[in-house]
Amino acid sequence: MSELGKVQGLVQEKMSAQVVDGGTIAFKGSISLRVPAEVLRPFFADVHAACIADGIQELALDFVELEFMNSSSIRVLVTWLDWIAAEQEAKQYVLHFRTKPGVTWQRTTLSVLQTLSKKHVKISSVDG
Amino acid sequence: MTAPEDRVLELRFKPLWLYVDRLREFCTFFAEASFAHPEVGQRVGLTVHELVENAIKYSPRDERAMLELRVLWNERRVRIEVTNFADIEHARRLRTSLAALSELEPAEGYAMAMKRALTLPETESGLGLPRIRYEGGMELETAASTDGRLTVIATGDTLPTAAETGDEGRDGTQESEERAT
Repeated sequence: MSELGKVQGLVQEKMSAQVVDGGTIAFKGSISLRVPAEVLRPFFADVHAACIADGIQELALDFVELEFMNSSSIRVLVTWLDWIAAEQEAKQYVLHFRTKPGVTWQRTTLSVLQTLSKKHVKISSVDG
Repeated sequence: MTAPEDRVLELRFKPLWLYVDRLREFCTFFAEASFAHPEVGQRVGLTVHELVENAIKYSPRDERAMLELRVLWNERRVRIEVTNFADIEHARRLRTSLAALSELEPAEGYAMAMKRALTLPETESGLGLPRIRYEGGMELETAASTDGRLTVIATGDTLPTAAETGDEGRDGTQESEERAT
């Protein structure tokens, strides 16, 4: 079993994030944590460590069922991107965000996140 | 702004975190149901969410703790006001932040805030206000009253943006995006 497959999913009252299909993290609900550094950050840190251990080139983050993310939680995404950029070139990987058309915040926030590190952020809009 | 006080929504409530998600959902629905262009609902909801979150974080923990939310709008403009008691230092920091932000284009301000977030303590993001300007398409200002209450005011258009109608990316990044099925 891959290291990523061993990562414990994150389940909170209004949101969940689970490893599915080996190389995808599926998010659901609304992430509006008051202190995401205590909840979201440790989960992202576990996922990041697993991606490095597994030598993953691209990790899909499925946001299709993610309704909302508050700015405090978006800050943890920025931190994650910083962790990736700090790795040796060969160990760096791409965060591939799969977004839902019509959910404006995904489009606007992720496009700005992409400007921080174009080679580490990929965005695709999932129809249907 | 042109007086938008044709129609008004007013709420007064204790600053409790558990209200925030439901307020965003209600205000999104409310704007979608009431405004001439329902596409604007998500921007209204986002703005309410971030303003109320900020107000809760910086509200006093005593009997004065009370938030007021007002949404005023007409055919072209919307004005969202969140009022709470705030200490002088917080009000001063907020004014300084807004003055610095106003020097930047909204997208640039949001991107810079993301970079700066990495230098802040983990419990802070500094992204809420830049996000409102860019994603919410709102301009921001503050008003202080002599009794110690601070109002943060967001104003914007009620006409949908190109991003909301799906015509094009607000900053042109859509060309780098892919479409999957």
